[in-house]
Amino acid sequence: MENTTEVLESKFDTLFGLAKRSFEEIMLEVTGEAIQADGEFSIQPENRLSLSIIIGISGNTNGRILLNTSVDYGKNIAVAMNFGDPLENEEDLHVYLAEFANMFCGRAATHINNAFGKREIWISPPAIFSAKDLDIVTPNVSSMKAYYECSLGKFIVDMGFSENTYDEF
Amino acid sequence: MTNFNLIDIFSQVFDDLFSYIGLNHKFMCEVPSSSLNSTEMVNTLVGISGDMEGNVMFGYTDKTAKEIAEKLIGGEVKEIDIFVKAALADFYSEFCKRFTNKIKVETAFDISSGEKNYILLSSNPTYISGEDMFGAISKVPSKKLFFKVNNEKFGIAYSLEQK
Repeated sequence: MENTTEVLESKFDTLFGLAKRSFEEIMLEVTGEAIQADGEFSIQPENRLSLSIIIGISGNTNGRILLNTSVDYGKNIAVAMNFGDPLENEEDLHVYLAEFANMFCGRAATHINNAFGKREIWISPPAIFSAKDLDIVTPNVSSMKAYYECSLGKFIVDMGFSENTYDEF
Repeated sequence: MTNFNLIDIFSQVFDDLFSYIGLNHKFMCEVPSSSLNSTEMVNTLVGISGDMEGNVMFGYTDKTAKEIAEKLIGGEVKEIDIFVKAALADFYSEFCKRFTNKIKVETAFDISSGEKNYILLSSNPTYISGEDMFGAISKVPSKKLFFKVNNEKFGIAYSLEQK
């Protein structure tokens, strides 16, 4: 089938739907929170540090999955994964969140590859960043976002896709 | 087990690309890094997947970002806007494509099993900056290569594991 704009948009919608479903499933399984995508909001850290988890996507579809939240909200997930016990040290936050992101994106890759009946995407391991005024930009991708607010905090799932059209030097 | 040296491949590709755009550059050293990396002023992350998976993060100064962009765009760059970020993304995308291609060539023939179809893919580069930023590109300690570009520090942190 020809990759017209409509075909690509429909494909990206399917990929994003499966990624959202995976996030909702993993949140329920890992933290016990049943969540659904909600209206748009921004995460204003106000003295809080922003936190983003980035997972690269490659294969037939290129792009990345970005999970945006704050360090405080991220800690809530990590504590829930630690059966409610506080974290022993600051570095544990990154370890727990990397595992959470692995589960979320691993599930997304499984759903996507099953739905397409082939290895549609490959994912790379998660990378986690925190900063006061975190600026994360992936040029040349069109992105779709889903907003989730629950007792653990605010989370934005941002999935970006590209047609793999980089010019070689 | 790999039959190639990742440092050699990184420094060859680095040399090729920085020679091509005409910026002075020099490989300095490799240091082990912790799993939690303090990052540079400007960073670009590229995910690697396939038979080898992990992340490669380029860390450099604002000045180097502008110098690379000026060479690519062909004009003066005053601030890092979306066009500069897109130019940097193209540059590091090319870096990782050349890097993965070189690994594919190095591993194209395996004596024990004959010709091997090695799958190695790189994702879209992501530009990351922020004040007092910390980042972790893997759960296991990564490695970091240091270069000098026009006397400015340039780092490549990487964590790559063969599957």
